[in-house]
Amino acid sequence: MAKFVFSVNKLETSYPTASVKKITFKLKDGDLLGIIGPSGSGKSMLLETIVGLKKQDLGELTVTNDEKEIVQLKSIIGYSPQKNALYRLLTVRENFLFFGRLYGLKKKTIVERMNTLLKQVGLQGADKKRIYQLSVGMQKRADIAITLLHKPKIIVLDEPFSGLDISLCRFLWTILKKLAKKGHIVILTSHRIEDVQKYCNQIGLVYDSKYHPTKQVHEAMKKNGRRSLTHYIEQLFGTKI
Amino acid sequence: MKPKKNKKKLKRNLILIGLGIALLFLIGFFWGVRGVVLTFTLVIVLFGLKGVLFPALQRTMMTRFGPMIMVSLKSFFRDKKSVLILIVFPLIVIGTVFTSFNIEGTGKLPIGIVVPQGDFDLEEFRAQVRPFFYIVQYDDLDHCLLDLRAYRRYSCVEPIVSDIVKLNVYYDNTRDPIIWEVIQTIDQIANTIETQKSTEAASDFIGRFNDAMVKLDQQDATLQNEINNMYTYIDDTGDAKTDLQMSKQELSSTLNEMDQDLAQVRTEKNSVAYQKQLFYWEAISTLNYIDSMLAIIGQTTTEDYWFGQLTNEVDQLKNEVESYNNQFDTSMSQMDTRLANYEQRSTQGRNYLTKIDSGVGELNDIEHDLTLYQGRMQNTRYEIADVKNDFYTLQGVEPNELVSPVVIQTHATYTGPINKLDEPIKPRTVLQLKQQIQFPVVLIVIVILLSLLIASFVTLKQINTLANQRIKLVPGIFFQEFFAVYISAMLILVLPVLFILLFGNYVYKLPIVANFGVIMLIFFLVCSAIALTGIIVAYLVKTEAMTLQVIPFVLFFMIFFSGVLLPVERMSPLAGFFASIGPAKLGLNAFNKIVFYNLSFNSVSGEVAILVFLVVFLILLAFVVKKIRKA
Repeated sequence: MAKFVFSVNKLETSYPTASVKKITFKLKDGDLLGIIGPSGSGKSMLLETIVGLKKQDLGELTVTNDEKEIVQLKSIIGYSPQKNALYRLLTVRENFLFFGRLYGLKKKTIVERMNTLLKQVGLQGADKKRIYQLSVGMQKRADIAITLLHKPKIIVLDEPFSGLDISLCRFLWTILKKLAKKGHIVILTSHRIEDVQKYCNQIGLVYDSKYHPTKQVHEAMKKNGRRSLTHYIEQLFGTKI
Repeated sequence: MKPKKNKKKLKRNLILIGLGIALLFLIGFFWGVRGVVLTFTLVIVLFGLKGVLFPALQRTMMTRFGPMIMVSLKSFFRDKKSVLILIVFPLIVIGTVFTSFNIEGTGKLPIGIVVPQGDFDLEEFRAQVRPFFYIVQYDDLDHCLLDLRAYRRYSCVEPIVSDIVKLNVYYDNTRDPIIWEVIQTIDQIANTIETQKSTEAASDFIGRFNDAMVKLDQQDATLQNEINNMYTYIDDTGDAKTDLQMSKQELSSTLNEMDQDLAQVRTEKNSVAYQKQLFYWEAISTLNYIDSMLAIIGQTTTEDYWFGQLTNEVDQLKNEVESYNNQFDTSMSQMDTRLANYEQRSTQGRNYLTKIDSGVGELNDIEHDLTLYQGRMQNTRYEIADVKNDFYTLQGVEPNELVSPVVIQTHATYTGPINKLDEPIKPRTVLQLKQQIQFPVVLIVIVILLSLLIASFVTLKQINTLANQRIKLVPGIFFQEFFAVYISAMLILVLPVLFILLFGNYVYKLPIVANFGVIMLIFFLVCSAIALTGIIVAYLVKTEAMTLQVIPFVLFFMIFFSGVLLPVERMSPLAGFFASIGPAKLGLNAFNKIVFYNLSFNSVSGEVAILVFLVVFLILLAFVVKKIRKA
């Protein structure tokens, strides 16, 4: 039986430019949710609402640990926004130290975790480089590593693969799968529909201001006789992805 | 229809030509040939352009400019932020600035007046000053100057009354530029009083002068009379002296004669007395002899009767002789007494002569003195005549031309480096003093600029950094985030502010290091208040581009309400109140008190308290704005 359960129930959130309604899903330890949808459909807004950067209009978000509700969601969430949330002029190490301190970690712990995480993301030896001196892929990996610094239970990544080549994307998927295997809940948005279909055990489609959970997506695909999610969505959107 | 149209056009053209010629004549009348030539050329050029340029312009306007302008205008007016920043803000600034001016000039500023000793009409002075200043009376100058240095008074006026009224005006020259208006106003008041006083004094003087002229004439006449009388007195004295001298001579000769007569009488009396004595002794001797003879005869005679008769006769005769002798002696004695009386009178007469001599002497002296007095009186008359001539010249003088009875002497209370020198004042020292006085203004403007820009820059960096999204996920980060920004801004500010302060200390020779603690406290609070304003603006606006546009307005407001551009005292009461509790003005006042007058912390405790309140208020406001704007 899963210890951690992240439930989103009838959530509604909106910006002047977009809105998403009827968001309902439930994630447990090891789940990897991939949210897909056309540009401007509100995927990033949905993630911001999930992590608490934006207040929802309606609905509720709950996290339970052994059926015990965790009130302070922010402390168990690690978020990596679409653009790297790092201080460009600071070194990787300084960024680690800064964010680690914000979470109340001791310097020794931070350095230990930094070394482990950088090794995991393949950035060992890059800790003394400033962020702007790193390539886009390295920056993204550093950003994800810092997201994991305080050992969040729920990892939320907004378009983590944008600007990365295929090999880096695969490497990142591997990391994310490992994290899911370790019991983390991973939520991400992506335009790489095939990868999402391949690596994620849960899929959410944001389209026409509505959230379509995995079950609905699979049912719709079945109904339309489509095996490939890409084909289904291309038909749905009316354009080739 | 066409010929009719041409006719109309011809008529119109003729009217236009007529009007043109009339206009050219008018131009020629007012501006001459050059004007006519110039206008004519202009008309030709315009007509030439009409055919070529105007259609091109019209075409371009219609096809390109019009839509472009419309697009620009629509883009501008549909962008609420642009309208807010470039229309609403300027209107607010213009409105605020122009309503901040006090149309009645400076408000009633507090000045001190030291109660004067002597004949000074304090009430009249107060009445003249009251429309411009709020007056506080002091018993002594020191107390007034103490309040002046504590920025409670703008000026201390000390009237010194002697022949003229001297107004010692002590002013706080560190309150540049408003203090010059204060001095000017006091000067104008003094001038008004001076004009009134001098007119009164001159009129009084001329009135008295005219009276004096009349009196001089009267005195002159009296003097002339007295001189004439003096002549009479002198003559009378001379006559009296002559009479006295003559009387003395007569008396003297009379007395001489009387003395001679008396001496003669005495001699004759003595001679008579002697002869009487001789006769007496002869008669007595004869009678004694007769008596002795008779005694002998008596012894022999028998004719006793006859003898007795004879003896009796002889005795009787002897008695008679004795009686006559006694009577004679008595008469002689009486004569002696009388002679003695006469001699005594004569002696008295001699004494009188001596007194007459001294009297004559005195009369001589009196006569001499009178002559001298007369001479002096005559000289006085000549002098009076000279004075009168001068007065005749003075009578033509206008009252306003007379010397002013009120003199103003201004004393700057801060003399800075000047009073430290024993040598004569050098131009360099005066320049240094001016620089010292200007330094706080420059300092505060730089502080406003730096605090606003640095604080807003740091805040925007924090708000807009991508890392902020991650920071916001940290539980309870709200306050820490705010204080991190605030303290960072303050730490960045330390270096430039410290640099300016040290510059002021070592270059401008202001005692900043000596009062380092208090000054740093003041500037910490001032910078905090301004930086917090910058932080609030950044929280409100959020984007750097917008902040860059908004900050100049805030900067202008800050500088305007610091009293650097428009003195706070000249602002309307409401604007003046807000300016007076503004951080820049408070900081400026506190800084000046410390560096110029070396006052203690107590003297700036009021400013510090308000600044602390402001900082606390702005921190709370920043929290609210940050929360609402989710910055």
